[in-house]
Amino acid sequence: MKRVLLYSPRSLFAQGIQNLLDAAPECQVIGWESDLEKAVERIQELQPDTILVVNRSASDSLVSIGQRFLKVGGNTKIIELNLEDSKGCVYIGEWFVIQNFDDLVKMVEEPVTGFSEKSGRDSFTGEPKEKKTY
Amino acid sequence: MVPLRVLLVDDHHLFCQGVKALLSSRPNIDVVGCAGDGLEAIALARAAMPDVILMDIEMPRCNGLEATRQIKREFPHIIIVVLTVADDDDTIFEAIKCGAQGYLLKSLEAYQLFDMLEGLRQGSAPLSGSVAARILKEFSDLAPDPGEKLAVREELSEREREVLELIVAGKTNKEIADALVITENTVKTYLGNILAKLHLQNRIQAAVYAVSQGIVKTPYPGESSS
Repeated sequence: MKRVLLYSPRSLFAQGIQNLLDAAPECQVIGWESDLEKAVERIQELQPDTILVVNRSASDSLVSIGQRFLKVGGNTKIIELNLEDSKGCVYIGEWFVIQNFDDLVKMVEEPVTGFSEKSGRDSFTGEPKEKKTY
Repeated sequence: MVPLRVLLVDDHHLFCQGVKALLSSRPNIDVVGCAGDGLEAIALARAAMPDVILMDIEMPRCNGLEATRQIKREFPHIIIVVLTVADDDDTIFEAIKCGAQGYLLKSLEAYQLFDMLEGLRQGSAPLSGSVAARILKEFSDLAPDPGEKLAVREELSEREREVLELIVAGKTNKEIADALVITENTVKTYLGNILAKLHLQNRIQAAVYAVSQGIVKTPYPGESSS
């Protein structure tokens, strides 16, 4: 079971998401913060598997907030949703010890986790993807 | 109490699922369907005959404004409340002109939506606070000189004007009945007469019209009423 922390104003959408997550056997909502500093404290304390962020707009910038969450959250994942469209964005925090330049090159070459591959849907359109045959 | 039958219309699938889950947990609300665009909304309105439709605006194939217009034309008794992120004046006023009887922003909290839907039973109009204030302020700026409104005012009876003043003040039918010491059914009759005389569809339009024509002074904060 994945432990999920919500970071969002207490909006209808976020409350609906919490309601759905509470009913999902794979997930457990371990907290909900709408204040940034309190959210950082809870992330440090609880080390959630996933931080779910609900923004008002697709154009709302998460970068600086995401950086803070990832730094204190360890190997956590941030999923960003917004009220305007059905797209979600995933930010992953994975920490590596870089002992030499080769380690850095390996990090650069490592592919981004293919959520679209696993879901079988195109990342941007949501349409089912054709399976590749060789 | 008969459950309120609600149709959800939104192309944001996750939003729709979340709101459905919240509303379905309420004992006096039945979610009768979810539509992903305006055309589907019209089809489901015909099939399910909901009491209330929560309508998004920006949707593919047919947007919420056009769907509202068509559904109100075919089923004037269905209450349509816009539920959207759009908070610009043009969209708000266009929605009201299309026949929407409420306008809520998606940033509201769940308990506010529940209260607004419950208020529908008492005849109130669900408006997010900022939207209501904007509507009244916008039209108060357009109020004509006192001399120009005399002809319209004469069409309404004294009692009808009193009811209209209380509607502009945001009172529910029950509150109007209490204030005027009449029954709620009588209030509904007066409201029906007012709408018929002014050729309007709902209390929001009546309130906006009353302020814009200077029939009633706006209760906008900061202005003194006389």
